[in-house]
Amino acid sequence: MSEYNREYIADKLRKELDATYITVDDLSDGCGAKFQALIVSPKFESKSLLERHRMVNSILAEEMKSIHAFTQKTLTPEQWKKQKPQS
Amino acid sequence: MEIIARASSRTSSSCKLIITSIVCRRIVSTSGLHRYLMLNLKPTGTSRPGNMLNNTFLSKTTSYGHSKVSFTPLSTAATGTKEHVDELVKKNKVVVFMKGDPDAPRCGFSNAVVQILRMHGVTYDSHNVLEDENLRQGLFYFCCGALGIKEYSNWPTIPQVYVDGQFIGGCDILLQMHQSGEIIEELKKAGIRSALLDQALEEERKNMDSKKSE
Repeated sequence: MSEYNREYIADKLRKELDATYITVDDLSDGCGAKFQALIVSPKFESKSLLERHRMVNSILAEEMKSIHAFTQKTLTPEQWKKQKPQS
Repeated sequence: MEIIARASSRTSSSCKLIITSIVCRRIVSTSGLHRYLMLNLKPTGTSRPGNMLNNTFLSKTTSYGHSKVSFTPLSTAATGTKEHVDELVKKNKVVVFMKGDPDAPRCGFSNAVVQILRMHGVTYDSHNVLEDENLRQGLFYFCCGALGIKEYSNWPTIPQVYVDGQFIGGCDILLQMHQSGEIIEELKKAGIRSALLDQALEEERKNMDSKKSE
């Protein structure tokens, strides 16, 4: 059982990463331990995928302890613009 | 003691003998203990032992013989230490730490990694963290320095993929690298040719051939 909900996680990430777009989905059927996130932030610019994920992981380090699974997609605003029409 | 002795006297005389010998030995041992205490413990304080704050009234002064207990350092044999993981990740070009085995992954994310690597025809070492709590969590950090794989890579989740001894990511990263084709480059750097690349070339050739024949 985790005390975190998707709004909390989205808020925290948005604040820390100045995210221009963010969605967090709770895939855990309410137990709050499984999330999927799409984060678009200018802070990801010129960062490798691993570095981006590490940024997110370090922001959620405390939360990660009780989150069982966290899937993330990290895009720069530019990448997001390119991807948008497809999806 | 008396009661037991009396009760046993009814059963047999040999039993009685044993009990008396126990009683005797007890007396002997009590005086022996007293002597032992006198010999081995040196009074250092003035107040009674029970009243002392830190109870330093009696301190042991003698040691028996030269028996030495030696502890084999566990760190050399323990799994999940930095040295151990260092060794593991360098054993093969691609090394995966996962839940379950490639034939039977025990987690969807681990399964995804297995499937992606299979698509690229990569041979790799896999380590099942569910079979080694030390590797998974660094359970015995206090006694033998086992960090666990998560501490090692500073990555909170499993699976973890290493190429050329370098941590490259977990399931998300591998999947995205697969989708973007970046993984082919990464494998190439390690001297591995992706099977998908061959497949793609094969298809291209076929397409060219069919176009030519048209």
